[in-house]
Amino acid sequence: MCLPRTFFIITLSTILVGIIGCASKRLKFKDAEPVRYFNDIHSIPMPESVRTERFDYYATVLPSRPELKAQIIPTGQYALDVNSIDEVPASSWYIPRLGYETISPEDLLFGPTELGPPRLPITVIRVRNPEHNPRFLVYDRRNIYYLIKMDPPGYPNIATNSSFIVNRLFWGFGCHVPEDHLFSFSNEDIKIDPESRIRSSELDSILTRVALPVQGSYKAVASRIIEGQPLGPISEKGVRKDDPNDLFPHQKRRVLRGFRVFCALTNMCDISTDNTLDMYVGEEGKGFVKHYLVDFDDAFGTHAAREKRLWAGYNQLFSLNDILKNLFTIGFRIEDWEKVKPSPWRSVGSFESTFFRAKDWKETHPFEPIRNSQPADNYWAAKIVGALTREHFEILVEKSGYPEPGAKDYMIQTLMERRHKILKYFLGLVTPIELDHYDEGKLILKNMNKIFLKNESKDSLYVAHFYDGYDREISKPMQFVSHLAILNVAIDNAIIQKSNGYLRVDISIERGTEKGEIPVEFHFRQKPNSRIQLVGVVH
Amino acid sequence: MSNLKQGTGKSIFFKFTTICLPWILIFGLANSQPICCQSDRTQTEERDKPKFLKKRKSRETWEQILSFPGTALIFPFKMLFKGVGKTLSVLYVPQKVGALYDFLHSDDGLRYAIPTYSTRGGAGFKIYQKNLINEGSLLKLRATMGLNFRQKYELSLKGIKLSGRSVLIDFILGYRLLVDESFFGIGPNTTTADRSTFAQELSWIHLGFNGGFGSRISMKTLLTLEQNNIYKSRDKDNTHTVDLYSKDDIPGLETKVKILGGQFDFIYDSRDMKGGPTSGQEILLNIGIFNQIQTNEYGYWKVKADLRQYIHLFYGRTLVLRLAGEMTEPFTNKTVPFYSLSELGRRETIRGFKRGRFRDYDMILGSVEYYYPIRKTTANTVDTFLFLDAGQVANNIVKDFEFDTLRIGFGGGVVVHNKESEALRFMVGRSEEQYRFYLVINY
Repeated sequence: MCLPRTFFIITLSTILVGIIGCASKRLKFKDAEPVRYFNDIHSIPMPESVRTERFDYYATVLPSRPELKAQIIPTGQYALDVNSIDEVPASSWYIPRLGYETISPEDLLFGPTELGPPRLPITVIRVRNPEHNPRFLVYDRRNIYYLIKMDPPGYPNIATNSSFIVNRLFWGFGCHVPEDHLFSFSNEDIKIDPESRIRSSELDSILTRVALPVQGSYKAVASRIIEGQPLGPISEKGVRKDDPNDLFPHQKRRVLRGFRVFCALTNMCDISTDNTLDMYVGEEGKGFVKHYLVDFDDAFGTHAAREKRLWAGYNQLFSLNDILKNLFTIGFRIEDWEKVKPSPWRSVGSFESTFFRAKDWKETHPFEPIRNSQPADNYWAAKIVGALTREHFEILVEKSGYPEPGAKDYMIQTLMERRHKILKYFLGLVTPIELDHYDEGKLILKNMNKIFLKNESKDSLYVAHFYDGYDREISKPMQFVSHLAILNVAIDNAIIQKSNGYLRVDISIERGTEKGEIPVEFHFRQKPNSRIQLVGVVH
Repeated sequence: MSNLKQGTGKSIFFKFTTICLPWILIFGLANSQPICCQSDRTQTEERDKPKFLKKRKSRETWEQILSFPGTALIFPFKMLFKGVGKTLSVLYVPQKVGALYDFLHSDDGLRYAIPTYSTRGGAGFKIYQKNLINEGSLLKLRATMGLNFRQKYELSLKGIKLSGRSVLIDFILGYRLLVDESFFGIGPNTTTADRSTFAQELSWIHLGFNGGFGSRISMKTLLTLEQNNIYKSRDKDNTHTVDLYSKDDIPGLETKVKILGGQFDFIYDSRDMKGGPTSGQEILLNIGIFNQIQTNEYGYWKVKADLRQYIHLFYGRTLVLRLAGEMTEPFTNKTVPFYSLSELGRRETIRGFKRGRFRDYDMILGSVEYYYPIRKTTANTVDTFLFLDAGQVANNIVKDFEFDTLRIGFGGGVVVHNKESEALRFMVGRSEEQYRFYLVINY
């Protein structure tokens, strides 16, 4: 065999072995408390402001789909912004709320409120998009600045309600969001700033392009302008190079990957970099970058109504896969969205739950973190959604105001059904078991599927495997059957001794509606008196 | 030899160790410690400086290596998208085009310009001005130019309302130059070997009077004056028709033929939408009489019927059935210029044949099209369609119709449309003779 060929074979084999070796390497956790708060708000000089060029964005996003790239391997990797127990610590990206603190419906309704809605009269400085979906930059009588958004013509309440409800929901999910409020104003309550270039007749003309006023009052949502220096959108991939606090590539952040679940619940299909905003908060040189999610008015049925896209939430803007399937099936492939009919309520549009499938929900423009989301990311987000109750939805829908009879109940029911489908699917991608605590030789576990979906009537068969720190199985697998949501798993002292200081317990569900493909791993380190302490969780 | 080798090795190492290394150490030590003592304040600042952790890479090296083939494969597409994006961003920005853009587009949407293209007419633009004379009036200017300087210009002013009356007036002025049209002879059995080419220059003035009867029915009376000139074509590879035939053989093979016409249209349109209809009917009946002025050699009447039925099958899948016919009859002792005969072979008749492939006095045509959507964007839909066309020309279609001489064309295409109009239609037609490709944009 000649030398170059030998060299080539050895090199290729080395690379392959290395790859396989890296792929199969198990995680092992240090003996340390999990990080609950990640300090990424060190003072930094103000980074440069960036803009998204729309065509550059399409050029990057649309041809880069995995099927077009003939991707050999999936690009998704385990999220980097998680701690040892598979949770996301608080940071400039995320505050743990729903699922981690008790957030009552009233708390959720209050949400990000600080200064409240605008105090009339409001004075217009500038108008954006006067032809289509106008937005007004105004200040109120306290000189507080707001961005005012209104409903599209023919669809009263659809965008304003969506903006308010989804703003509160994302606040509950833990995102940083601006302070959005519903309010009403009449023609007498709106003035024009003397230094503005808008004429009165122009303003009147713009107001004819929004939903008609009811008894002389326009309904609007006011989004308080966030304090700080805007730096532009959050990039989908990579990091902000001139922000030393920004360590993890954004497509590998669980906080952003979790949008797949949050946006599926609310049908926020227009999620893209345009819905994100980096703000430099603090004095120049002493501040840091805080990451916000903005613009929630295109959720629920608004996007479909405004843009005439019944397929919003079911398809991406460009999907070569779908186009080819439709082309070669000669019209006999019926997509789910084709069966969707707009609801009888203009304030609801085509927001529905019958044809909604959590697995198949898609954002309009491919959003890199969502496309890279892993089962563990979606499970984390699903747990947060699971903390929402009917009462949460009721209070938000009630406050928004759906004047058409039946619309309110329909919205609440649809949200609950979508929540149910999301939980059923995303919790089923992993083994949805959490460790509540360890108590005197017993692991107290929670089956999140049974807790959220309340299906304790059915038995599930669990299997637990025990390993030491070298991946050696140190005991026979333990099987147990239970229909309860809370499980007690006894850990024999002998198992703890055999583990030699590091014990891994893998639990899988072999039978039951919540059977997952990936077992959950609980990693423990041995403490004095044969006690064990949880040091790591892998879903 | 071996001693010399060893001696050389030791010597270099010794030199490095004794001369260079101390300097490296001194240099390193000098930079690791400040020359003067640090103040407490500076030390505090150093301690207070946040220790930023290392940023993680967007993609690991092994990911980049393994996805390199795919990345290389899409690189041309990515550059194409970027190029188109850059071009559009330059052209789209009104400031750059400035006064011309403001002239062509008005904020109220009443005036706008759009590009247009057809394989027959070439590329160009259309400018619209609505409500110029009265509400509902439409001024349209179209200019296109194609290969070998084929051209079409048309100025039309439609929907002019006479005061207090429900009749609308249309006025159209146009010019067209087709430089390499084909002529295969007259009759249903002409062959491709008989092909010759000619250039046709046509100018026209149309004056129409429209009346509507509800939203579905309209009638129009049209007065037309047309002048035709037939020349040698610019096609150097084929025989010229004017060289092969004379005016006596083929009526119309001359210049400055002015024909005055009077036509009557009956239109019934119950389609659910104008662009991409899924249900309804479209019926066009036209009867016209035409006579040459000045020479009085040509004179004929023509009857056309075009019926389309749109059948909604399921979820936007639509079947379109079409039946069309045309009869031309010369007046006593007069003839019909060949270009006014019934014709099969355009994209509006049988697809897959050359334009003007079959000519005769009468024509019958049937067509089946099946439309199904493959993509819906904002307000546009992209439909794919399959079609089958069949037709025949004859001297007298009632007597001479034969299934054996029925000409068939089939194929498919893509159409992009919204509810009002079609933006783009691309078709590929196949006949027993050849493939033909058709592309029309905003036609």
